[in-house]
Amino acid sequence: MIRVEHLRRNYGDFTAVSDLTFTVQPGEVVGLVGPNGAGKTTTLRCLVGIIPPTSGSIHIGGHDLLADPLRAKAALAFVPDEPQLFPHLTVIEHLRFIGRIYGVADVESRAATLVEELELADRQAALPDELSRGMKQKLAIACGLLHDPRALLLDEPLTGLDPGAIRRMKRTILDRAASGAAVILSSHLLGLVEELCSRILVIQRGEMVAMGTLEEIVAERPGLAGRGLEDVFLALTEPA
Amino acid sequence: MTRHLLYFIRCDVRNRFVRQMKRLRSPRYAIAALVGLLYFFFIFGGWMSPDDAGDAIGGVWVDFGRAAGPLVLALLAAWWWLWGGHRHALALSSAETNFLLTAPLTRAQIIRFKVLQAQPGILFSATLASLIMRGTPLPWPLRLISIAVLLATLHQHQIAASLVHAAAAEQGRSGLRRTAVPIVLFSAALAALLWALLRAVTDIRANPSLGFAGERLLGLLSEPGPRIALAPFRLLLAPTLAADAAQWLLPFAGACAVLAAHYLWLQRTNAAFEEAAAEEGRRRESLLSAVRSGGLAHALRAQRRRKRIARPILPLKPTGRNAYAILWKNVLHAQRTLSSVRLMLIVPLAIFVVLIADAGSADDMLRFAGSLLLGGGLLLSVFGPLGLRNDLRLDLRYIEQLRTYPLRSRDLAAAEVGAATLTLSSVQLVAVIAGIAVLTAAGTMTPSLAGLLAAGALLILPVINALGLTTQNLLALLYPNWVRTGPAEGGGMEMIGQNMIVMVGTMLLLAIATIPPLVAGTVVGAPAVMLLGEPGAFIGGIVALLAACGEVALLVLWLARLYERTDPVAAGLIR
Repeated sequence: MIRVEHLRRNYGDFTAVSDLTFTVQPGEVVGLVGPNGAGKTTTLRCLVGIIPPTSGSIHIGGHDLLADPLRAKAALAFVPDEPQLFPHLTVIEHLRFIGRIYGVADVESRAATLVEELELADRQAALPDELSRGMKQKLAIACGLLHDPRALLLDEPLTGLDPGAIRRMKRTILDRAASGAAVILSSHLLGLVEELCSRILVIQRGEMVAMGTLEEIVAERPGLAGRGLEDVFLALTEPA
Repeated sequence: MTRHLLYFIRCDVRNRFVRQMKRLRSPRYAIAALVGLLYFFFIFGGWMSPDDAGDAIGGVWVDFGRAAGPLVLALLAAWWWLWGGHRHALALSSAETNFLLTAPLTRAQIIRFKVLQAQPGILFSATLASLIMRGTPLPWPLRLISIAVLLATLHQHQIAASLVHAAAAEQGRSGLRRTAVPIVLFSAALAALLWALLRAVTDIRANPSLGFAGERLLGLLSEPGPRIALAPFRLLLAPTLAADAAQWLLPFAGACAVLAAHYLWLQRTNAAFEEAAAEEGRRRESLLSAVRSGGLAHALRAQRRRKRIARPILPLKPTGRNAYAILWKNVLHAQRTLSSVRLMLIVPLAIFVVLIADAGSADDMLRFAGSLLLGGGLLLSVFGPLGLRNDLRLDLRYIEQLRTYPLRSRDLAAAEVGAATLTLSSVQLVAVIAGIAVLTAAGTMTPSLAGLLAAGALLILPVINALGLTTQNLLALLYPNWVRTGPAEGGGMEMIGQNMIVMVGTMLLLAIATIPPLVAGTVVGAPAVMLLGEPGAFIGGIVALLAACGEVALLVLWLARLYERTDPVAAGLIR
C-alpha cells in the first residue's frame, strides 16, 4: 500500500506540490494526471525517495519512507520516463546487478522469465548503446519488476514501445496489480489511464484537483455527466 | 559562420555565466569562490606588475619553451595521433542533433560551429595559463592572445589527429586511403624525431652528464629532419616567447597561419572521415546481406571482432551485502573503459623495449625500467584520483536511479570509494611491485628491503588512494556544478582551465588531509624512537597509517551524510 499524507515540496519560494493526501490500496492502479508542470514528476520523485519532501509523510508497504527508507524502498520500484541504464552493463548484467541490490535469490530464473516476456532474450549480451529506445524502456521495466515490488510507480511507461509491447505491458501492469501490488501510473495518455486505472488523481499547480473513479469525479460535477476522461481532465485543469 | 549559430554560442556562454553567478548565492559556493580568488591572487597577484617570483617563472617558461617546448608539443601531438581520444569534440548533443542536423546547414558550418563553441573554454584556459606564465617579457594581453592561438591550434590538431586515428582504426582500408597524406606526413615526422631521440639516448649513455645531454639533444633536434618536423610547433610557440611587442607581430602572424592551416585540415579530415564512415556503413549493409544470403561465418567473425565485451573480473552472487553490487558495477565499468590504465602500462613497456633494442648493460636497463615502473606507480596516487572516476562522480549521473535503491548511504559511499580504490590500487601495486622486483634483480636493493617496501606499499598506497578518491568525491558532492560528473572523457584544450582549478583544489585538500596522520605519527613516533630506537619509527608509521585509515572512514561517513542530504534537484544533478 502507498499512503501519502499532507505531502508538500517547495523549491525555494515555489511550491511544486502542496498538501497532497491519498492512498493506493494493494491491487489498485491509480492514474496520476495533470498538465505540464503540475507537479507529477515531483510527486513521484518524493514517493520513491529521490528528493525529500518539505513536509508530510509517505508510507510504502507500511514502512515510513523517511524514518525507515531501506524497508520502504525494498518494497517499491520506479520506472522513470527516460530509462536510466548503466552504459557498461549488458542487459543480463543489469538484471543481476538489480537482483543483488534487492537480494533476489532466484535472480537467474526470474531474469530468464522477464527477458523472455519482454522480448529481450536475444539481446541479453547487448550494452544499452546497442538497444533501441523501446528496448531500453523494456529493460528499465524488467529491472523494476525483478524483485516483485509491492508498490510500482511508473512514469510514462509506454514511451517508445511498439504496439505489441504496449499491449503486453498493459497486461503486465494489470497482472501486477492483481497479484497485490499498489500501482501509480503517471501519463499524459488519458486513454491509457482510463483503460487501466481504477482511480484517478488529478493535480494542478501542485494541488489535488480531484481523486476517485471517473464516475465519482463526474458525480461531483453534474455538468460533466456522460463525458470521457479527456473532457473531464480539460474541464478540471483548464481555466474557465 | 551564419549569424544564428553565433547567436546560439553567445546565449550559451551568457547563460552559463549567469548560472555560475547565481550559484554564488549559495554560501558554500561563495566561500569556495572567495578562497579560490584569494589563492589565485596570492599566487599570481603580481601578474600585472612583474615581481621577482614572476620574473623567475617567466624566465623558466621562456628557457623551457625555447629548448624543449616544440619537442613536448610534438610528443603530445604524437600521443593524439597514436591513441586518438578527442573525436567526441565534434559529437553533437541531443539538442544539437535535433536542431542543427535537421536545419539547412552544411557540414562545414556545423564544424565551424563546434570549433567556435570550444573557444570560450580555450580563452578561459589561456587566461589562466597566461597568469601562470607571468614574468615573460611580453605584455600580458599579447601573451594571452598568443596562448589562445596556441591552444586553439592544438585543439584543432587534437580533433583532426583523432579523426585520422579513428578513420584508420575503424574504417579499415577506406579510412586509411582517405587519410593517407596526413598519416604519411605524421609517420615521417615521428620517424625523424624518434631517430634523433634514439641517437641522443645512445650518446648520452656514453657520456651521462646533464649539460652534455641537453646540448646533444638540441644539436640532434636542429638537424634538417627533426627541424622540419618541429617547425609548426616552433611557429606556434614563437609569439609566446617573443622578447617584446615589436618582435611579436611577425611570429604571431606565423602562428595564425598555422591555425588557419589546421582549420582547413580539420574540415578536410572530417569530410574524409564522414565519407569513410558512409562507406563503412555500406560495407556493413552488404555484410548484413551476406548473412541473409548465407555468408554467416564471415558475418559472425565480423560481429565477434566488433563486440568484445570483457567478462566481469569480480563475481556477483545474487545475495549478500547489497552495496557490493555497486562496487562490482563500478569495477566492471573501469574494466571495460579504462584504456588509460592500459596505456599507463604500455608506455613504460614501450620505453623498456626501445632501451632493450638500443642494447647496453643489462643492469642499467633493469634499473631504468624498475625506476620507471616504481616512479610511475607511485605517481598514480597523485594523478590517479583525478583521472579515474569509477566512483560516485560517475554515479551522480544516475542519482535518480540510485536513490530508489534500498541502500544505506554509508554502504553506498564505501562501495563507491572502494571500487575506485580497488581499481587504482590494483594497477598501481602491479607497477610498484614489478618495479621493486626489477630493481632487486638489478641489485639496486636487497631482497629484505624489497620485501619491506612491497609490504609497505601494500599497506600504505591503498589508504593514500582512498584518501585522494574520497576527497574527489566530496568535492563532486559539495560542488556538483563545478566538478565534472559522469564518466572520464578525454578532455581537450578547452577543459585545461577547469581541470587546473580542480587539480589545485584537490592538491590543497589532499595536503590538508595528510596533516592529521603525520601529526599522529610524529606525536607517537618521536618519543618511541627516543625510547626504542629504529622500531619506534615503525610504531610511528603504524600509528600514522591507522590515523589515515580513521580519517578515510570519517571522510566516507561525511560523504555518505552529504549524499543523503544532497537534494539532486537543488544541486542541479537532475532537472
